[in-house]
Amino acid sequence: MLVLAGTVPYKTGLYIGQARIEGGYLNIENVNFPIERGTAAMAASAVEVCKFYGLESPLCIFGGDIADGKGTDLMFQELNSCIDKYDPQIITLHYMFPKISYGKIFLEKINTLARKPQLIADAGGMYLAKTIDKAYLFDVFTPDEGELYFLADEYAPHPLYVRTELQKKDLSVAALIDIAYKNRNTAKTTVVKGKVDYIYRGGAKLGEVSAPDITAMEAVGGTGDTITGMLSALKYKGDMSAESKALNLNRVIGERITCRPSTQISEFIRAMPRILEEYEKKIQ
Amino acid sequence: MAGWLKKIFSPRYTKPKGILIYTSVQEVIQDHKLLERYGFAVRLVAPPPEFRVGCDLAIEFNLIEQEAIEAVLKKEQRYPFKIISTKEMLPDILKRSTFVEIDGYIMCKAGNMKITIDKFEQKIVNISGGGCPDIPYVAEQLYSQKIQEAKDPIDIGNSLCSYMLQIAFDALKKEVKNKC
Repeated sequence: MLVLAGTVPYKTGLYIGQARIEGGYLNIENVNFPIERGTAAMAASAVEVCKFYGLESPLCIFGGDIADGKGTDLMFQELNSCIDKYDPQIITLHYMFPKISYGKIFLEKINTLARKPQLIADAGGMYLAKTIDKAYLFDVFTPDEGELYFLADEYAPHPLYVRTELQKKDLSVAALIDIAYKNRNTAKTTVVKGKVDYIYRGGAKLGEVSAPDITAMEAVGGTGDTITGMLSALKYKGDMSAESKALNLNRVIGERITCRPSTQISEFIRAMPRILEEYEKKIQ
Repeated sequence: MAGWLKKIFSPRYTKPKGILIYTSVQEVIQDHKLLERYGFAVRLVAPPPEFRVGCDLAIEFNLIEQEAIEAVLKKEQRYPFKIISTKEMLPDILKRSTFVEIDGYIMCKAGNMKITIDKFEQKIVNISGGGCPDIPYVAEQLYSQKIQEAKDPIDIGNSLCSYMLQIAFDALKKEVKNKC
């Protein structure tokens, strides 16, 4: 099972269930979540990819959290006590308050599972993994270029606390990756999202994606979330080139829908089945 | 040789921490217990000299947990005398904002946050960047609001990303006002 865990800007509560898209919303056990940003946009992207390839729909463990941290508590309490009953193959951690004590228990719990799932983290999930010095136990991180500085700075507790001396050096992606891997502060695979996207594994560059180059995509909130969602689903499918495929698809979607700075991420998600079909036909 | 010696004797860089300052030891002990009960990685420390206000005990916390700690203290109606704020520790490099014009829209960036408005209607069309958990909520609240009339991001969210968004928001608001 593909398990997606994170917080959503919704009333406090725990929302668990296999997700589907219904009327433009992400539906979990008859609760509709807007897919305009964040964890819901990530999950909706994973749902579309799973549906396209005929895979079981992802199981979502969402904490309704209106910036007070309560949803994060509920989500982690569920993960840390019951994750074994979901038999996860992949767990993706997304938006959340990065509470250190939960992160440590989560990883201890993962270690007790008979089959260790692949761990993917973005946003708060990634900040948490790095802050507790356990980034190296994760399989994939999906930072943007700013977050890569955070991974490279062994002392930074948040992307905004990267030491000025490091920022002023204006280091290349390769140099930052090198530091992050040396300090074991990133996952086995690191997908760096930016004007040019890069894929690194164990410090070695596996590839990069730079076309099509759609300037307006930088302004659109959620374009990183769709990458994480598609990547999670493609990994679940067992796609060996999941990273490059997710990065490519995201850019092609931007091109096909004529992305403008006012484009909403739901337009990307709606276009996914069509672009996936085109993509697969092209490959065949 | 001199460089080698300098390296040995120079103070080692340590991870920055946040500190909660109180006016009485009793409050410190109570809140320390409270925060521990909520599962935060906190410890009792001596406050830095410039922040000593009659009590020689303070609570040190990990900066990554600041937003969650502030939310818990607010919920429990506990009010430290001062939180040595992460905001005060932000390097100046991050407090700068830059503008990019794309096809009739203006995007303003500050740190990891970006806010974009329609140049003519001045409505907020997108907010991107930031991995803090309140950002999706803040973005939802601000979407399609005119920037001059919209609530301040920091009044909606309480994270460091919201604070950076506020810097971009203020710069963009000023830019729009100056152009009118």
